[in-house]
Amino acid sequence: MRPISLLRVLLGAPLGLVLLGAVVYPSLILVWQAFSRDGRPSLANLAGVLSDADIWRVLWNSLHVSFWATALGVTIGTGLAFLVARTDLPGQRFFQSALMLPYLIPPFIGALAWLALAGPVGFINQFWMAVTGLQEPLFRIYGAPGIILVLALSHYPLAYLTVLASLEQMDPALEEAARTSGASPSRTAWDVTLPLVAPAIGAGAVLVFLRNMENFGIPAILGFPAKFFVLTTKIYATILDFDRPHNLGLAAALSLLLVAVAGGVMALQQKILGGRAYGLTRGAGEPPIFSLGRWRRRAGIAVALFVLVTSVAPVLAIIITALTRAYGMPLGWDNLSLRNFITLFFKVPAVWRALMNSLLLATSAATVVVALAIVIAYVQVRTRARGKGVLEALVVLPFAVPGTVVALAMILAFLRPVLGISLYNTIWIILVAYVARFLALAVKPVAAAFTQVHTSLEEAARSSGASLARSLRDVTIPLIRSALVSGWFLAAVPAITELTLSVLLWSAGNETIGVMVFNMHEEGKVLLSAALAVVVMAVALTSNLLIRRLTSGLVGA
Amino acid sequence: MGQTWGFRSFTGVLATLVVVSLLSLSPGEALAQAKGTVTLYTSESLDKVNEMKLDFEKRNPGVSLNIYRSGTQVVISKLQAEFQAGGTLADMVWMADIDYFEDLTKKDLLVPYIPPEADKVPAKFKYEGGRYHEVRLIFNTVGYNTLRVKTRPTSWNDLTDPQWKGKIGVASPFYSGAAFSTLGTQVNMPGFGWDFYRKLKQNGVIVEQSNGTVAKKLATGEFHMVSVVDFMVREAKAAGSPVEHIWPKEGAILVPTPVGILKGAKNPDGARTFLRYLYSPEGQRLFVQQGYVPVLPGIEGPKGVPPEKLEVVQTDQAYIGKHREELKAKYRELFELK
Repeated sequence: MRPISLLRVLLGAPLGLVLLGAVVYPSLILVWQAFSRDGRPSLANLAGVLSDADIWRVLWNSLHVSFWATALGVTIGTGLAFLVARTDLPGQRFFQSALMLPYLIPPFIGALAWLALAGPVGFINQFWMAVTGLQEPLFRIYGAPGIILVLALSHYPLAYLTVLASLEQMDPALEEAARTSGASPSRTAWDVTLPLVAPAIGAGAVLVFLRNMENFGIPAILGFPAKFFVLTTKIYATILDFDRPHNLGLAAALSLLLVAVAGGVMALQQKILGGRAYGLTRGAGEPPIFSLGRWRRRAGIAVALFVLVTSVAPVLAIIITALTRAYGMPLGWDNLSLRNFITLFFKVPAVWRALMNSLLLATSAATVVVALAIVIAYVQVRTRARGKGVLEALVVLPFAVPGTVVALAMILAFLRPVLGISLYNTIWIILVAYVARFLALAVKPVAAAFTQVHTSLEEAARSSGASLARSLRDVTIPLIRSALVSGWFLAAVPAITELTLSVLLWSAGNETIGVMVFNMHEEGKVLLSAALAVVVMAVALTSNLLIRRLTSGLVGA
Repeated sequence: MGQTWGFRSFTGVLATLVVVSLLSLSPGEALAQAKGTVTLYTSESLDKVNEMKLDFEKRNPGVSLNIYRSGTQVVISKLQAEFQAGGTLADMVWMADIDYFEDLTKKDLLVPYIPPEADKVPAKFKYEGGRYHEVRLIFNTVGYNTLRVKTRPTSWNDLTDPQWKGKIGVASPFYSGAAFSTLGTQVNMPGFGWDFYRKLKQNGVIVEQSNGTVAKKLATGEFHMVSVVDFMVREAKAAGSPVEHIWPKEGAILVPTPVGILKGAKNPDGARTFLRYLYSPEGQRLFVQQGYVPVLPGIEGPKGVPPEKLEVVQTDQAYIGKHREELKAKYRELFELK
């Protein structure tokens, strides 16, 4: 048995170290900071937060914005899923991909794109003012309404996907039965289909709500100019407000408030929807298709318009902005040039460095995460080790809590050197944060693959004399190769365009491309930030295409 | 044998070194050949400071400039966090908050150094015995959108003209060091004072975070007239935006944006080399190219800038330093800011 225990040590030690250093220790420090002051246990931070009327308003802003963005996003997502999966909508194949477009664009880039389209001097308002001769814009995108709109349009694909999957997996016999018993199509949809997908809608709603709550980029870009704060942006501002005594402790207490709200929502979901997923075994046959009749064409045009207005127009607007020569001059051929891109790539060396940093961080984080995922999945699926629940919780925790909270925990944990190693002000602190944050993304497909490889294969290898390491290397890993590739990309892609963590953890020479866009925007460099945003968008779309190729459509949209 | 050879070559190298260093000796002093990385924390314009980095590195092979660039308040926050945690990565600091430099001087955190290149630069730009420096000048002025405003303004008071009500923008003194210097100066200018700010308020002035945002919104016509730093307007105009700035008859306000070397800098030679570069004719010419007014006599400023008879109001740092909190509190109260 000696080789096995040695292997266990070899595999277990790095895993233990990473979980301890990147998850357990920062979490404990965060909680300790929230409940202490000047090194002694204290409720002063909590009291400071809860007694601040401003914080209650911020909490309300968070809930109110997330709620309406969820309502809007889920309505859009559900409606579209139904149209695509259950009706004879024309151009379904096209829409199936086109509707996923916002999912591929990082939310803060989406916010910048919407600013170019519908900001105070965006193309819509410019057109409005030119046509009416008025000096007032048609609407203001800064503040709650703009944030709600952009959040909803960035996150509706999550609801769309969840409901679509449920519609596709539903036993068609149920709807068939209703139809053959004489129920009208609308009646069937209302009385049979809708109740059956209700759990999926609920699950989608919770997912969208949590994403809305934890988003940083959209409320930062659309909220700061209107001095409108939500919990994530308030935590960010508090961390940066060193003039305020005990700012980090207060930020820690605020973080716990945010985590509590998110946890509450998840618990509520468990309570309401737990065990209500029924009728979802895919039976034989095709589900009935509701004919849209004479509305078919109009529905097709409406969905096409939706895609045009919500996905194509903002992207086009930011591309045109990126190509603008002089801001404030009317749109025209003579006001277009590539100058902004030339400045970016030839005069600002930091841009190249940021691109390299992001690529390096994403690839190394993904590699570390996949290596860990193999060990974790093995322990979870193949062993009866005690404490599996704890392991799972540690893996999920950094992904379940908002990114801003993870970043704060990293700052608190590593601001001062730990065991003689100084991570703060280096690129490593970002890597540690990424590993913690994206671990869960890789564990999921790898663990699923492990369950699909029957133990008999490993047992056969073992009984023929192979060591555990050898049986893993020669039998199991080749069989789960595609899951490893998927896991790698699932972690790497969001890391490339990441903003929330790196905006708090970057230091001189260690900026990411997301931070670069954000800082240029903050500085008021509209044209340059638009040009860089276009570059980021291109990187995001290309990496997604690449994934689809490499994983033969398993990952990516 | 080997030893003799070694000694000979040693003396040879030494002699060469002496000759080379004598030849390269600049007036005043010799500087150890700097190399390695200099880390600069700054609120300077991101693209401009990066352009400067390229030029500096080209002229000083072996030295590279590592830049942390963010808004003044964010940079100060980061510095304070790092001081609290036991040391900063920064070798140099450069930003639009002279008050913070006074603070650093009081805490004895800056190293005095006056580069030979700065000999002819007026003494008033080499603060506290060279602990921090004004290496180029920026001014707060009145900017206007030429598509919206047809009669060229002449005075700060044009900002209070009801004709532009609700279309006037300024930067927030809570975020922008330049805006704070302007506030602290204008409240003591004859005929202005808090009364001027009350009139601005009545004219529906909009307080933005940064000068960059103010300049941007001036270009797009969202603002018709603004109080803004001069070079941003010239930069936008050069790019073709419909903007212009004036030199107000009561005087343009000099906005200090000092740079200094921190005590405990890991690369003091490198930091001194960068400061020398900033004062050098090459560095000053790049400033001019970027639209700034140089401090080195004999270097010609941007075309027609500043005009022959430029009225300049110097900021009264002693007053501003002493009344910092009071100024902020009054401003906050007047504009009902959080």
